[in-house]
Amino acid sequence: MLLHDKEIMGLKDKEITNLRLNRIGFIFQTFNLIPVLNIRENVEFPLLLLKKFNKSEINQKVDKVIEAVGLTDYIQHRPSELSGGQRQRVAIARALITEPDIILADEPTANLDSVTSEQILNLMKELNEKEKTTFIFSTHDPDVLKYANRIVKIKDGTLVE
Amino acid sequence: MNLTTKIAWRNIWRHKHKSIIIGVILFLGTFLMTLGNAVVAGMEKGLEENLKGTFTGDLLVIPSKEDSDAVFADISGSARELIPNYFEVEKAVRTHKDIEKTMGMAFGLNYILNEDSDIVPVGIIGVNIKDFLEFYEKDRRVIVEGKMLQENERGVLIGNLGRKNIIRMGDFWIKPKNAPFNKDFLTEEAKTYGDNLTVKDELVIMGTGKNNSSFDIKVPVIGIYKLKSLDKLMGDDFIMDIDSFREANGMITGNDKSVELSKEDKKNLDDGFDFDEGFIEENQQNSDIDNSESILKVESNYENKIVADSGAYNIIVVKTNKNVNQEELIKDLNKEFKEKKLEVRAVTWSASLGFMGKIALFIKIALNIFVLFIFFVAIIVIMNTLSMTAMERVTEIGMMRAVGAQKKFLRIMFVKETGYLAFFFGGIGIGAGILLVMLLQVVKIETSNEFLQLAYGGDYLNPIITFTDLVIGVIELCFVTIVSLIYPLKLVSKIKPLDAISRD
Repeated sequence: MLLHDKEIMGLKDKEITNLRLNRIGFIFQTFNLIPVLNIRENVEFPLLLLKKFNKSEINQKVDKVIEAVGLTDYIQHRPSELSGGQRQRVAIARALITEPDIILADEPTANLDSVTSEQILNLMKELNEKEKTTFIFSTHDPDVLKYANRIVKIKDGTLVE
Repeated sequence: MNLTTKIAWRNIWRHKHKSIIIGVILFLGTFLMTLGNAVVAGMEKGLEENLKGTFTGDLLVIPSKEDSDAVFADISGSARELIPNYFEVEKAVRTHKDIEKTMGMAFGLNYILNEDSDIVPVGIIGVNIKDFLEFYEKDRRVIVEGKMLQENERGVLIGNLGRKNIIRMGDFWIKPKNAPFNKDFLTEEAKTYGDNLTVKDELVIMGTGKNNSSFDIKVPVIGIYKLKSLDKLMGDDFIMDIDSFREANGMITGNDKSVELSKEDKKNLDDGFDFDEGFIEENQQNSDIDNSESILKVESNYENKIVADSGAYNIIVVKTNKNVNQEELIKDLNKEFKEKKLEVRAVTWSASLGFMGKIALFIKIALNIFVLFIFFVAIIVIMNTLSMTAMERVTEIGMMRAVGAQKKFLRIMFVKETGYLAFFFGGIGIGAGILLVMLLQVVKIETSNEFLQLAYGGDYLNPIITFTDLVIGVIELCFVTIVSLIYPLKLVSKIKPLDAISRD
């Protein structure tokens, strides 16, 4: 498997972890935020792992991305104090913070109601257009497909279309 | 605050119940260990001070022929070996730069003969009372009835516990000679005899000399003493003037031959056996042991004038200068004995007491086994709890891995979580142990119970905190923390980013 013309299948754990940190963002079906950290801390988490930026640069980036997902008022809240949609926005912000080449989203709207799902998908579409970030997401929901530029069908683990 | 520190600290608060369970176990382990070690250290120190100050001195010199170093513990019915060339040995020891003073002592199992009941075995120390009182601290033995044995006086001092044992085994009560019979001193057991109580102020002692060289002697009881500490446990010895002890036990050396012979006797010997002066002089120089009755027969006559010290002793007790390395000193002395061809050896005070001398060590080992058991349980419980925590947090940890956290980051996070608990609760445990020890030092709990006297190392519970014990405690705490982390860390390291998804 190639990523940026580089074979990644034979990489060591440490190398592939660095690859994920630097180039790939993740959004999960159940948001998977760190419960003991507030929204700011959850979003800045990958940047702290990256160890490339100083505190003010981190704050600047975090403020920007949180503003982009519309959660500026909730910055000091813990995940348990947010709704499902808000949590998924935090997850998107966390995925965006390192400015990855691609974001992998595992059924990002599966645990959200239809209105919130639409808001999240619109946000992803907007970020794709503005920030040129590629979102690759899996879904069973046909309504989600209309937001995709390209659709790949997988059946029982095999690419069928 | 560092990221791992922040997450670890907040996770401790988030999982309060688990944290408390782990914390309580660590607290108990460290608290019991600190307190237990302090009690044992106090016991060790108390026993050492009391036993050294009352009986053994800092170290002892005993004949090489003695099979066991435990001369005070291994009291069989047979006579003890004498120190050969006593004066030469004593001089070699006394003049050593690290030694403050020495004292010759005879010691052995003797029997009180009693016409009305069975013979009563008793441990008797034979000493020159002046040397004895100078050697040990003055207040170690307090006369409770009668008076202290005087220099050149024949007689015996009896331990308070020894007197109590005799009423039990010999059916008679002892009081000092020339002292009024005081019923206030009677034990409950003695009181049950009522008017039939036999009271003695002289004892007939049968020694255990070699080659049937022992005699029955009658000695007056001079006084009853009580030990300052450990009286209930060790206060049963009889202290007898050395001459009476030697007579009872047939302890004579080559020196005795020359000392005891009067001019008239010597003349008779010269006339009869044609011995010359040279032989006598040679004999005076010879201090080899000779217990043969054919050479000298000691009469049991208490009006005998006490003659110069013959050097018939079983033990030399030694008081060393302060801050002397006892082990090095013993090695040094034994080397000197070997070089001078003196058939004696130096032994530690604890070795001379056998089990009693090592009891603190045994109790310490038992305590540490108990604490290790607690820590073993702690390891299992902490390991289980942390493993469960790791499994419960698979999605969270998987997500961290997915967004770029290395395994090392997760391991550090878990180590910090457990480390803070260990540091906090373990620290509280050690602190609480120290506080309780300080409180016990102020309160000074006293006991008259024999077992507790042993456990306390004296009459008072006096636990002490030593730096070494504290360091060992911290090391054990670190060990528990590290061991209990090994398996959970393995689990954490195995969690993959995919686990964050598959658990959804």
